[in-house]
Amino acid sequence: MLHLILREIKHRRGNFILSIIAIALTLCLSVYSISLLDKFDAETTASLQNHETEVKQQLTKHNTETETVLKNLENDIRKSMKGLGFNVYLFSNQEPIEAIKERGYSIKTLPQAYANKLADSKVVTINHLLPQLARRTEWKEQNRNIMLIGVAGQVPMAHRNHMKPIMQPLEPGTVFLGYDLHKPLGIKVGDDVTINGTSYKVAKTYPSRDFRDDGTAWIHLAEMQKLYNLEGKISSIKCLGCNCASADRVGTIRKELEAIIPDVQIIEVGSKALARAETRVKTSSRADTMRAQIITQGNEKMQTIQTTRAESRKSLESLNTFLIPLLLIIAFITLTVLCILNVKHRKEEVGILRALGTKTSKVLSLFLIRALIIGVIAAVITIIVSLTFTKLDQQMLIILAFAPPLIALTATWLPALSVTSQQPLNTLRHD
Amino acid sequence: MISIQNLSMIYPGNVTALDDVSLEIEAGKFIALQGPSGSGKSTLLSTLSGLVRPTSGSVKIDGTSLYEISPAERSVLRAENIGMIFQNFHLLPYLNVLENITLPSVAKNLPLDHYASEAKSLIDQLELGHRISHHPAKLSAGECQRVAFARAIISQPKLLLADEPTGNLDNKNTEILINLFKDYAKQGNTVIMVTHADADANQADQVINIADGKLITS
Ligand SMILES: Nc1ncnc2c1ncn2[C@@H]1O[C@H](COP(=O)(O)OP(=O)(O)OP(=O)(O)O)[C@@H](O)[C@H]1O
Ligand SMILES: [Mg+2]
Repeated sequence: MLHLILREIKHRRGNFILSIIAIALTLCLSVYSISLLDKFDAETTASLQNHETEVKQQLTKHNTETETVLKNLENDIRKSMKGLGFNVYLFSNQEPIEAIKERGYSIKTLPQAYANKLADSKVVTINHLLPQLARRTEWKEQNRNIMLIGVAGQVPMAHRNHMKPIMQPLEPGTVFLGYDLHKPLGIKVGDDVTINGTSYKVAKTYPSRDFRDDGTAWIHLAEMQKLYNLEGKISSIKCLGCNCASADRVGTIRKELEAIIPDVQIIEVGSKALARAETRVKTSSRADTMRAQIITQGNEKMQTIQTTRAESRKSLESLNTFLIPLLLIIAFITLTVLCILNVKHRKEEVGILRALGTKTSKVLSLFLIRALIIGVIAAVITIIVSLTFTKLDQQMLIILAFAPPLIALTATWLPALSVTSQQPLNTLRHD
Repeated sequence: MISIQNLSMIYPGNVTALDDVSLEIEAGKFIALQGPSGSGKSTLLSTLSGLVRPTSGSVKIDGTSLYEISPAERSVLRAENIGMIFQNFHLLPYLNVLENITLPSVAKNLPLDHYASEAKSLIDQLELGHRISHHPAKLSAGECQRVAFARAIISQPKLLLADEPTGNLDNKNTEILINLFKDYAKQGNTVIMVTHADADANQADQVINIADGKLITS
């Protein structure tokens, strides 16, 4: 029987080959169409991933940049603190800090003993202690307002030996003059100068430094205290070269000091180190803003990619939902037509086989087996061709293996049945 | 052998092809069926072979009523007992001579080459040896009809029905075929041959005449 089928196929190979092509071609086109969608999805994922890594790279780059900048800053700060340290003033906490800042000194006083107390303590954040008593006064001889500051020599820190004093000690009866106080008057070191009736020997004249120092005269603390009847009192302790490396330096120092002298408040005065510390904070917050910006921009772009690609995908998908059934219908119709042609050609054959006593079912099976062969070959071709341009998952493989035989069998069934179910005589007449 | 009783065939369109035909045919006879065109000869043969169901009446072959059994049983009966030859040969174009002759094996669910040895001796007998692997398109009418004859008798059916088998043949081939029929009948089989030619009919053991679907007893 198979022999018979194969002979017929060979005899009418045109019909046979066209049938195979009809199925294989339409199915390959369907697979191709589906593969385009898969490819599109893969592209979407890749592009999103690309973008994500890009953003990540940007962030890492930004982070390392920020980190190096911050590290450099911190190193700078540390370095300058090692070199310069930074300066704080200790004032009485009896006066608001704003008032002190406004005036330039505090009218409230601290016991001078605080300086010694600090010096004797194990405080490590402070290096040089300069107790001061500052007052603004009229320089009657010159008829001008000056800042008069009484300073002692530096108070040595008990737990640190041989610290080099950072300030030239001021002897009693001598005065140091700021730029504005000596320059306009042509006063030189060694001259005598009278301030409000007391004569002092000029021991040092400062070059121009800042507006406050320039209008300041320094005398010995004891003489200053006597002048204002404030023996044993000071208005502030200037701490020079504080070497605290933490970010919140004032806080660290305050903590240490509060343990020793609770009724003081601290003002940090401008220094390079301070400026850098501020820069550090600013840089880090700017870096944070920048970072947030990178992330939001990245997210926005991601969203755009996602939505535009989702739209394109939709149109592609709708094309598929329209195209694939159309292709399958075309395959089915083509196959039905080819099968009807085949059946028409074989009407006589059916009549002969029936006349020879072949059962209807057997004649029908001749057609169906032929259809099955067409389907199987078409399936093999479809799978092989599809594999050249796309990957097939298991589900797709099963569909491609079974769809062609199914299509071929359904297309063959009715035409074949119509011819085999006729009375044998009819198929033999009028040929 | 064959018992026909009150056989009538009315085709759609109220065409009466057979009108109450009753006939008994003995085994081992070569019978010629004669009648004008449209008288119902082909229809009678078709009903005898079970190819078309009559409107009424019965056909019994060796006691089996042909139209009281299932179509499948009828197919089996036809495959085993009836051979058929047509004016137009009706060979399968894609099979060669040998395969066309052995084709009845398919109906019996046997391999196509089941009758190969019988077919080969028949081919020699029918002087078709040089044509054994040729396809029908390349054969002459006489050769085609000899192939058709060989196919019809390959399984040795008891009944051989031939519908104008000589219609497309020349005198020489007609003679060959008629002699084959005679020989086949002599082997104890029944041969019924439709023919227009008196010369052919005269060679038969018995001539049955039919007109307008009715038998004419002579
Ligand atoms: N399938 C059919 N449908 C309708 N009418 C038919 C059919 N087959 C035959 N006939 C009619 O039945 C009648 C008998 O036909 P049939 O073929 O049996 O005659 P025939 O004797 O074989 O004629 P011929 O010598 O021309 O072959 C005719 O009138 C014919 O037209
Ligand atoms: Mg006829």
